[in-house]
Amino acid sequence: MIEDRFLIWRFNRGDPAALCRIYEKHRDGLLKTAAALLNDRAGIEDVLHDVFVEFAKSVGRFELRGSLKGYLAICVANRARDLNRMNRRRAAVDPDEVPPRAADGIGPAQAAMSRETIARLDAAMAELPDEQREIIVLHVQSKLPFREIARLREISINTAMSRYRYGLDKLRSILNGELGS
Amino acid sequence: MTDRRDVKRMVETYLGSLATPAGDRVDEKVLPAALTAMHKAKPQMALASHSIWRTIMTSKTSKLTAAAVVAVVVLFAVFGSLTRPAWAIEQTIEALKNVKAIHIAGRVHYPDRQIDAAIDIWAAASSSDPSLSGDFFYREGEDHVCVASEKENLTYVSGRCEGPNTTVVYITEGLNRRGPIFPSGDMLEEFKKAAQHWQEEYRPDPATERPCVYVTFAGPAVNGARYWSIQIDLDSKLPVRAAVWFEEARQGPAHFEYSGVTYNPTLPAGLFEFSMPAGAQVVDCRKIRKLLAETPGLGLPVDGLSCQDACKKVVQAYWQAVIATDWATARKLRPLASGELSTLYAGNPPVELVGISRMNHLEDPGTLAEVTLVIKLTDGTTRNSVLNVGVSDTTDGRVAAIAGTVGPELYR
Repeated sequence: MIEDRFLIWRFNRGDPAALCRIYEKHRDGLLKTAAALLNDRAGIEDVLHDVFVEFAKSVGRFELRGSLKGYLAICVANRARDLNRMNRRRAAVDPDEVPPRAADGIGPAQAAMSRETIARLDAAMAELPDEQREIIVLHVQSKLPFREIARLREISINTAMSRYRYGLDKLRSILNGELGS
Repeated sequence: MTDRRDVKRMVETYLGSLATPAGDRVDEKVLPAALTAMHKAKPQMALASHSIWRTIMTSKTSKLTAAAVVAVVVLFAVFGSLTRPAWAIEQTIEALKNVKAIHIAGRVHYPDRQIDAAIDIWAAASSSDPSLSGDFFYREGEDHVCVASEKENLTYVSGRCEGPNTTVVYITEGLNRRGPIFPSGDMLEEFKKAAQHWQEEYRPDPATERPCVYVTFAGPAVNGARYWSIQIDLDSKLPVRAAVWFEEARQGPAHFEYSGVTYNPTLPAGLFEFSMPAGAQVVDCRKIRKLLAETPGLGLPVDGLSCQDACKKVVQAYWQAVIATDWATARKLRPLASGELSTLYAGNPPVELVGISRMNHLEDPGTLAEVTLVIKLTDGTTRNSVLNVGVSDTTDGRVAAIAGTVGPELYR
């Protein structure tokens, strides 16, 4: 957090190295966030591109309130939502079309998860309303506390937590076959 | 699948397995575009101020007035530069970049508890992020020690709990008590941002005669003390002394005073390896937090409550259950207790929670909260007890539970 504030201070004074460091520090997490929120994963790089170009334009006047990670994650979520609206929502996902999983960092739990389960989760996530999906991804993937998500989304913490719970419940329903998916 | 936790675990696994484009490919697309956008945005800022200047300078009167003002400003600047060495906080921030380790000696003063003790702080910059402390050692007086080890990724906080006369050591995951006041420039920058009434006074250090700037401001609070004074050596540009007071007058002993500062000292071997004091009670904070995160239904829901209110609520609920001999509820609120809870209070059972006399370590990431309370027993006598309370954010919301006692269950 403190490092981010210092980087922002340098960034606002036009230090390109600060922008590079901010990018390097947050790139991988934001790519994952974008991958989890986009219906069409071909747009992952575009999301990151747009977010960082917009961020770079704010040089000299960027004010950080809360965490930089949270701010950038919300920017990614907003951009992903725009792109999803532009593209049609995937109706279903063919297991064969699921992108290959990352080669690095696969633990036993991931290895144990079948491609079919991943495909079902993929489809189930795409079925969720945007606001529920976002909160699940921001909380589980980006590790943002509900308090921060609530602040960034300008909703109450109870609303944030409720959306999260509804989202998980809906996923469970979809995965249990209670809703037609 | 029956539980939200199961779904959450599946989602975690799923999100962790999502493929993302190769970093190099993304870098090639994003970084040059972002740097170009930044580069283009910078001149626009400069142009904006330039155009204002051009507008002012359009009339002849303005030009003459401006010329006079510029002359006065230059005179002041030249005169000022002779009497006051130039210093800007950015220079100190820059100088602090070369600091990889620090040793600070000083004193701490708690007026309410009439404690005045020496403090000794050692910190080494994090290996992954030099702007943050990695290894950290803090000693206050004889009893209180905090050691954070980057290698172990653990923080140990050791202190004396006076009531039950017990030395307790808390262990938490991660580096939970980061650095002293000086180690990085960004810390100073944070101070500057949060500061009110920032004032700089240039005068030599009375002992060494070295030119210094004394910066005073009201800034980030340490236990409620927020009136700072920082002395910066103008040759090295490094802070050499700092203190923070409860009162704006800055009279009498400071709450914290950092006086003996050594930059990049040789670190004593084994300094950041915690040595367990003999007879200490060890509280592994990870246990209760893990149990609450993984087991639904344990503890007491405390959504929306402050840490203080959450502690109060769970302690009251626990003693209510104990007094009512509702052992199932008591067990749920104190899930780590070994053996039957009823045996803890056999013989002279408690009949009333008289009150909570003190709460300590609230909102402290390196420890659990300590709640000291007074209990009335069946025979009419009273006893004290210090309960450790853990508060965790779980999938089902914020939950509080009792982890155990510090020292004996009840003491006089």
